[in-house]
Amino acid sequence: MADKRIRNFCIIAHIDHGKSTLADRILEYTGALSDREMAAAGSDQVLDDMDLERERGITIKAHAVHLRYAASDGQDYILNLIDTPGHVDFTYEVSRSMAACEGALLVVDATQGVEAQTLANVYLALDHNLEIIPVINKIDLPSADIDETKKQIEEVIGLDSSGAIPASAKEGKGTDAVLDAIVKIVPPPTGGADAPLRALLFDSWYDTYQGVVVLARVVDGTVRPGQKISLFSTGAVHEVQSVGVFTPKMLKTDELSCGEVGYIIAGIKRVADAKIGDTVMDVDRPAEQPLPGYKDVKPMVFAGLYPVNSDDYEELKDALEKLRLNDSSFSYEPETSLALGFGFRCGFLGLLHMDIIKERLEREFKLALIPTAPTVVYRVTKNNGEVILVDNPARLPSVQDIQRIEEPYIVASIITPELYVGPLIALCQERRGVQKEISYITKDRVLIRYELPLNEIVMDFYDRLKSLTKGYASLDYELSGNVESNLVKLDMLLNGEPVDALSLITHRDKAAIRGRQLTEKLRSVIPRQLYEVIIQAAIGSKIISRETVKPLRKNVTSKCYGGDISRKRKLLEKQKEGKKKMKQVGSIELPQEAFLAVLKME
Amino acid sequence: MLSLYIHIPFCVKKCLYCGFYSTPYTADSADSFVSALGLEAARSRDRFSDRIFDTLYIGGGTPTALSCGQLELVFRTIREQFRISGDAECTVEANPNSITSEGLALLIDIGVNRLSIGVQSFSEGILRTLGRLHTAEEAAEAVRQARSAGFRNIGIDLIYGVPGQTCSDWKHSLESALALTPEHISVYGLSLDEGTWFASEAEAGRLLLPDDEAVVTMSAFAVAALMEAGYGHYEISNFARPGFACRHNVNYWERGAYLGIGPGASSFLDGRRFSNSMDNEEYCRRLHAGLSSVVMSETIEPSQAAAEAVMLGLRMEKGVDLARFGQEHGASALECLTSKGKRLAHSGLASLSPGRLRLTEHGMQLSDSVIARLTA
Repeated sequence: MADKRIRNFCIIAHIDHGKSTLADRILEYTGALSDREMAAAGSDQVLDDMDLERERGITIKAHAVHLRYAASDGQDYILNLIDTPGHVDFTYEVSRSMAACEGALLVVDATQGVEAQTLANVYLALDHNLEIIPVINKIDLPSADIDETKKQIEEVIGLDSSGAIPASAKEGKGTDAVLDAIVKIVPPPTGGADAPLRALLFDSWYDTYQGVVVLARVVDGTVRPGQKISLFSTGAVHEVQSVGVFTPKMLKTDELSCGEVGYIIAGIKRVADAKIGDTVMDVDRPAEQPLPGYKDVKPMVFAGLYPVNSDDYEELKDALEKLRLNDSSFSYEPETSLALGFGFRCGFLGLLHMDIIKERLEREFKLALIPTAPTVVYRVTKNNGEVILVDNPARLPSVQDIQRIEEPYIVASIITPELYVGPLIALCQERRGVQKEISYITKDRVLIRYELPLNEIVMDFYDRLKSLTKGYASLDYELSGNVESNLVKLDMLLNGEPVDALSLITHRDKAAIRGRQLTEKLRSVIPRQLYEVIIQAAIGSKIISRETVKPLRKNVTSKCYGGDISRKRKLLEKQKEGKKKMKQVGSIELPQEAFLAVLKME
Repeated sequence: MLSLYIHIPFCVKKCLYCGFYSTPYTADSADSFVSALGLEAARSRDRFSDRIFDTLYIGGGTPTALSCGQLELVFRTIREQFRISGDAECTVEANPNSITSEGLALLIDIGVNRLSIGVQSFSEGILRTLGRLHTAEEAAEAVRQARSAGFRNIGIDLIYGVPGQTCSDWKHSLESALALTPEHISVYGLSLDEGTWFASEAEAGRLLLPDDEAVVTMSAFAVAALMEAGYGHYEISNFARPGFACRHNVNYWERGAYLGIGPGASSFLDGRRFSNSMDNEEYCRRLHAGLSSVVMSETIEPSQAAAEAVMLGLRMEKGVDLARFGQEHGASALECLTSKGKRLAHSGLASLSPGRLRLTEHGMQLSDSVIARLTA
């Protein structure tokens, strides 16, 4: 039997509802971190260790912290706090972290109420049979409404909120009650201490010195150094070098036994060989069945990434390789664009994932990048019966060869203040959405569910949703399958030549307006040049819109005498730097904004 | 070629469009300046003891803002410290409002043989807009006076693209200038230089500038009218009757050597370019304290030299001598220039006649972009 004094739990919360702050308070209260260490961490939350996470206020990488807690019943308990990524793109990762737990704290901001993401994660937690403890946070704020929040938890989520714990993680109020509830309400782990080893791998990352570090929840049996283990999906055999826990400091232990959560280091070379959701097994005494729920996660959104300066290609390649070391959920392969030169087609779990990778490349590796329009994976059936998957508009077969195209659909759940229902419905309609549900979850908050083509939301749906609702609406989505659609490839031509990096796949009904928007947008961002630039949008050989950038008429320095020469030359050098940021397509100089134009719908 | 430039930093009043440094004239500050200029000249003399200057140009500011005594002293100092060729081109810039028959006689007397007069316009309204201190008639009278004082080489500056200026205003100015039969005419498109009243007004949206088309028309009209009248378009903004191109300025565009003295003046000698403090007070203070007046100095790297040769050479009608360019900047720079030049020639912006790359009239109007392409 597993140790009765173990509690494995995670925290569910919408962005900014206070998950990380509550985690910090728990660490502090249980003495995992001294006040001094907390102060050293500054105002930053301890569990979020990447700058990016901090800036975006979200947690990308899951962590597990091992805490000791002396409960009021006089017993010492081990609490494993498993942090979960907080975004829709990482639903699978979240589900695996939850599978490692028996309970969850549901943190709801008393000033904001229940959000779409909260809802999605609660459903996920319920799917995993977790005991849920509602925590009403930010009660210190004047606008906090505890009763209303309780009511929402009951009505919107359907959870009994009579035992909800009022807390202010910021001020440390309610932390003791939260810890007591964890001990009382979250059940201890079950599992067979003597059964063959089965451990759920719920996170992994690459460490330069130790190779891949695996975070796992031991479900059955025990894992200890020297043991030969294998991962169910790969079958590869590794020898365990060390095991331990994070307190949050890395602490070696003799073993991890049934019910425990900790790290395993076993000489695994690549994160791609330690996939989230996989089952760690004992080679000498293999379990008959792996743990349920493993999925090979496939990228859903693809985009080209090109270095602005073509000399940076090798650097970009190295950077992608390094990032992939720690993130096996994104893929990349070399790609060549006539317009942009050498680059990579990258696959991401979703939009946020794409943004994060792109930002890390730009920030950590100081690369200037041009992204091409994100696209989904289309399932194209050719007339000869062959079925191909297309993740790049340039690879769409010509119209006469296509029998049909299917595109992925999602179901989006949006929770919004009533005020914005009109604009949001208009947005969903405009994006070819089909309404599934619209209901009041409270008297002034509405849940809207729409079935939408994924390609309509990969562009700028989330940004638009946020700007339409002043940031008050929240979004969650899940894939709902492939649907046949009347899709066409929209080409953008500059002086008659198609520019591959600007082409995209769109619904036929929207092609005309999209073409017009794009030509107009390009006209506004392409600076006047020595020559006239004709911008056209075309479907096949049919031109659907056209704009012209008139050539420059006059661009001359009228005075250049003895004292002007150095200044003028420096200006020229500066211009040259500016030119490096321009992409030369034929005789046309295109600013980066031109390529970004296709990323925006409006 | 070796040229000498003297910068006189004084103006009676600053013009609203002028981005050059100048300071109001006072007798004391001008005295201090003249003595500092003497000190700077003395510091430089040894370097030029065995060299002869082919041109001398006294510009500003407004050189004629100085008193006759001060101007004379400046000239005496220069002649004492430097050797000026007997047939040197000696230019002085002048404003119509500061030209007197006494002053003109003095200039002739001390050996000035070229007068560049800042007329700018022959339309009263435009002169007022520019903040000039003279009328159109005073400008014409100044030119006639210069002629009768004995000047055989007179240049007139004109500006187009001024707020409120119409094509017929411009035509009138050009015709008035031609009627005075100057040897040289400079036509400058108005530029909004940083820090000027014009620039801040334009920023605030209060300046009604002629549109691009009108400016292009004005420029094209000037080129046509001046060429018709027998002036060669020898540089983007400069026109001259045969034999009257400004040798001093041509030396800049050919990257010849020059020494500049006075506040803000630049020099280009032995592959280095350096310039003096702009500020007259600081300039004087440094020199009176026995310090160098140079505040900026740079070595022109080979790639920068090549870029300058293109940038400056293409300003001139005769363009860049390719053989010379190859000798001075290397075969690969030459190859790069000719291959890019060919493409521009193809589109009518440049012409690549045997041995020379030059801009067409169309290319000159777009020279900043064309040069940027050629040097990228």
